[in-house]
Amino acid sequence: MLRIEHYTKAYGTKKAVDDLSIHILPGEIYGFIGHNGAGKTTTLKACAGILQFEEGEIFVDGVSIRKDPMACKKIMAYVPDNPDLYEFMKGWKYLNFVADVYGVSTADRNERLQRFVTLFGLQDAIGQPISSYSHGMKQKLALIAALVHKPKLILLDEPFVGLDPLASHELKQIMRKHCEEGGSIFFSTHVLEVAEKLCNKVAIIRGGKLVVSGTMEEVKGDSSLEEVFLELEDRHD
Amino acid sequence: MIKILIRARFGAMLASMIPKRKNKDSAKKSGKGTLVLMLLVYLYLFFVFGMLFFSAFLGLSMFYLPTGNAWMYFSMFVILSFAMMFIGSVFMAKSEIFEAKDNEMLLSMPIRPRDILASRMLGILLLNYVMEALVAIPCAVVWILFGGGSILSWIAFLLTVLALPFFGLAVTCLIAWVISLITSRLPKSPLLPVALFLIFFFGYFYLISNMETYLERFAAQGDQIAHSLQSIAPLYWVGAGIANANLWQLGLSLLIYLLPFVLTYYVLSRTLIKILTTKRGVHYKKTDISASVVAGGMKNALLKRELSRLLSSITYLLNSGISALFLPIAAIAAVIKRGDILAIFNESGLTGMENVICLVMVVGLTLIASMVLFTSASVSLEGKHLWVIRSLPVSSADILRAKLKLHYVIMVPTCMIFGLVVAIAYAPALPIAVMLVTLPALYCVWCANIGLICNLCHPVLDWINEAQVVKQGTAVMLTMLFSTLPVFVLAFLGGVLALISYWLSLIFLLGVMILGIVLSYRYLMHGGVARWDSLVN
Repeated sequence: MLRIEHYTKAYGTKKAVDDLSIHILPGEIYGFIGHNGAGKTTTLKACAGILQFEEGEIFVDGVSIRKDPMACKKIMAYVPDNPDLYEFMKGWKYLNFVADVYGVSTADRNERLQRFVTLFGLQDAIGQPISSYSHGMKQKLALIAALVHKPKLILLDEPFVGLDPLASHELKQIMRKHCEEGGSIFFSTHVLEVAEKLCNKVAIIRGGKLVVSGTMEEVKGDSSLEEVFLELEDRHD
Repeated sequence: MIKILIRARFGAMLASMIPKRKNKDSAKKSGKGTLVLMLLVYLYLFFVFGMLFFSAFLGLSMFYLPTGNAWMYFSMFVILSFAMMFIGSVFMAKSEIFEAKDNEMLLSMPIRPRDILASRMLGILLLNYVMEALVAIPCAVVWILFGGGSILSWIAFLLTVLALPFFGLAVTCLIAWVISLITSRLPKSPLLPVALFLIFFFGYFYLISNMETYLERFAAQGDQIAHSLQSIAPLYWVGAGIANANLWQLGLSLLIYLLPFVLTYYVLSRTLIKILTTKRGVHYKKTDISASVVAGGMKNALLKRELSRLLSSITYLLNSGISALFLPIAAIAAVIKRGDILAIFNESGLTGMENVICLVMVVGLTLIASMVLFTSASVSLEGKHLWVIRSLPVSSADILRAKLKLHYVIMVPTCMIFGLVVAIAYAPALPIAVMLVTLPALYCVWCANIGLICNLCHPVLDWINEAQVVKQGTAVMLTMLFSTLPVFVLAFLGGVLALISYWLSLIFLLGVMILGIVLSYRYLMHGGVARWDSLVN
């Protein structure tokens, strides 16, 4: 579903991500872990087609994001770490706008929006301007917008930040269900316990370079993910 | 601390006004060139406004300076300066002080509210000085032409020039606070700010459009009006303080200017935290999604997005679209005053001047249309939201087309309708009627294209306050230059050709405009798309 091959992104002379290769199959929840500034967001943005890069290639469902970004974007969704949405729109207008762009039919968008808005408890706020939303509410709205066209691949950057425990729980359920239905999720997180419980596979990145990747069992063995992460950090210091 | 805040505020202001350098080596040369161009734009705008006030003061001086009512001349200077300051900075004060996005961050830091307030007010104060200079310099020049005054009068004038912006600052801050309070208490609907904006500015336009009549009346009944206005003591003091170099009146005037500022600063600094952190007007209620969401086309959705952004921001609407309101005003005034306008020419023995009048109106309507700048900030306004549209399956060309379309949809029919109205009212020769209907409308298309090109070349995505990109941005300034200046060049060339043949003039102007539109559009769909794709926030 998502194949990152030798992806390299440099800002001036500094390489933010260096020769990264990851392969995510349908039905997988892939966790992306690393310290602040490790290159997680830079990678996710490139996968989402919003950041140009110099070296390597990224394929979404076999299609190059560089060569045909439109085809790739049609089947995926991206939620950034800080969901700055259109504050000049009301919640439902924003969702309707996103659904229009993806060409979702009235019946489908009605059913999906009703379901997700209720699931995330936004019924009372959906008619209000986004400028009046809290960070968590914006995060929920961005997640609903990402789900409205039923994407095959979902890219999430720190999706649990700002969510209340109930919404976090619902999001985990949605993520599992999405993968059970054959979709894939590639997400970054600092919450290692969540990654450990939720992910089939995990990749740890440090200073822009992939340190380790594989199935959860391969990466952590008998230890916890936290222990593995801290050990890898110590080894590099 | 206040120095740091001022540095940060002015850094942000300058960053939006001066073109950014992306690459140190390659941008050094082009950066200098653009900087010089920007200075020329500012000088050009200063010159245009300066000439406007120069002619106004020349008219006033003839009636007041040689007589014993010189104080009226200076009272008018104070009134006009204040009007310029107020109009120029009231919405900036609203967004800079009460709606800046970094308010909460700064309040959470160990910074005294009065320092935050002072750093923001200083920016508005400087803007007030610039606005005042537009009036003060022509006023002083005309005063010199009429012999000037004593050294004491000049000192009084200088003190007034220095103190008056503080009064303007106090009033703008208070009004901005009231507007901010009203808009925050009302339900968040794009129509409300728009309605507020229309009420405010139609009042302003009414005053400005009647300014000539007022000045004529002032001139015709100078003594009488001066005598009656003398009873309004503060108005008399501010003028007489300069004209008569009366220390007592000057002292009172300075008190009038400075006291409201001190009081405003004291009150706002004491209540700033409460003003900035009290949220009003948020009443959540259930919305029936099934009744609200209906499928529409992608292109329509993009256009609606641009329209929502425009209608939700007074700052954007005010600074980019204010001139659009002049079009109906100018056209309707031309129709209503048709008899008067023709009578002026008939009295001068010039009959059958409909064609000439209509040619002037073509230039007038085109000039007004050229001042609408919707696209010149539309890229920068994406700001931190850029990721939304970039992550969606929408081609860059479609996004740019939607930005252009907003300008076309609003301006082209407006220009055509009012051009047609004038053409019907004056019934000029056919080629001139065609000019009235087509040229201002076509020019709008050029303005939209050039505005978008300027913004793609000089985008600012990391703004804190949208006024930075809508009002002070490099792109806006360059667009103003590239949209208004060609009007004069084309008017001259078209005018010369009109002496030979109206048809020749029409064909030439249509040809030039269509060529400009095609070339600019082609650039947008190639170079513009590449620039859009390279944007990162």
